Amino acid sequence: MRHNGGMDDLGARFRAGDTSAMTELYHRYAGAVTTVARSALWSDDLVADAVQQTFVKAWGARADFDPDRPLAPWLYAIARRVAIDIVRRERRRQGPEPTEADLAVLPAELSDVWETYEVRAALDGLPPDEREVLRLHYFEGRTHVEIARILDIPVGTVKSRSHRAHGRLGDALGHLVAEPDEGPRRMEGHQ
Amino acid sequence: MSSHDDRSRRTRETLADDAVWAATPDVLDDVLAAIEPPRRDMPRRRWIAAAAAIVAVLGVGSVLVDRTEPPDFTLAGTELAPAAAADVRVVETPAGVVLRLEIAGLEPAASGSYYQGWVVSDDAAVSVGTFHMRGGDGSVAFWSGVDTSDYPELIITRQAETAGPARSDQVVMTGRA
Repeated sequence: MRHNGGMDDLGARFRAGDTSAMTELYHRYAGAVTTVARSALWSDDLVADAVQQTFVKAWGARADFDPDRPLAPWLYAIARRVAIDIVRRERRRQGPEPTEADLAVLPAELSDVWETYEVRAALDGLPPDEREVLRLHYFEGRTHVEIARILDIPVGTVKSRSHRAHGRLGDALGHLVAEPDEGPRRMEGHQ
Repeated sequence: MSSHDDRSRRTRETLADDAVWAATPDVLDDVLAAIEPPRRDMPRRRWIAAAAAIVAVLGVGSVLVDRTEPPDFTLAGTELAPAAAADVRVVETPAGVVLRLEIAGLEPAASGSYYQGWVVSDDAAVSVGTFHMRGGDGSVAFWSGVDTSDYPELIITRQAETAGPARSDQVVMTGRA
């Protein structure tokens, strides 16, 4: 299942003003929208503000959404715009008074967030047990043996969950995500 | 290195990015409060009578439920989930009927499955939403777009992700307004 696609009838229901579609949209993409906000904003409150504004603005702009096109890129564009607006608003508040040129400069972190957004949306579509194996491996840098110990499950189960998770990610992202070697990917600050 | 390999490598690098794992703020209720239309008087129906005890529309655009009021009706667990129970409060809005459930005792849906709500008449059922209970919170909001006076029963089924959209026969909770 592609998580950046216009799956089932969610887009059509959202455009038609079905508020239950908003709940589904939120559960499917709030995590991905959070990655956009988190890439540019520095506090939890600002991130929460950005996520809320993104969905409310999307609702207000739903008449502009083409239900024959995928929802994910459309929502991403709104999330990015909201994050930029909040960055500029906060720069104005924190002064000194910025020039228009200053305000025109995008946060560097927002220049290429699409891939992060897409990966997060795919991760949020995974079963929790498979998602947790990926988090422990990629984010905490754990080996399969360590993950087995942490989750109190056999190493073989870790490997099978990892295999399924990579397969699902590949389906969602449209390209094969190669399974990593046993060595930890990231150890700095995550011992 | 092929573009395919390059994409795979970049994806694996992205998976180590803090932002990918950032906690999602819980602002759904705020979003719904901001988009839901204000309540206004509606024709009285059987379910609306059940909703008379409720309600609480505070401010502009909010549809809130007073959880100190007794529920309009309750759901009981079936033999598939004997410990499950739910209080149901009903709010009529111009866009449809909101069914707010406070669920207790229902296990999180297993991997590859989810729960689905249905309003049911004598010969038909209409889906009102899905949920999974994996976040430790049993607050669930359903929306019904059908005339619920004709669909007086609310049931919750357990569904398999790979089984298609049809209602399964695994009923875990049921109740009537």
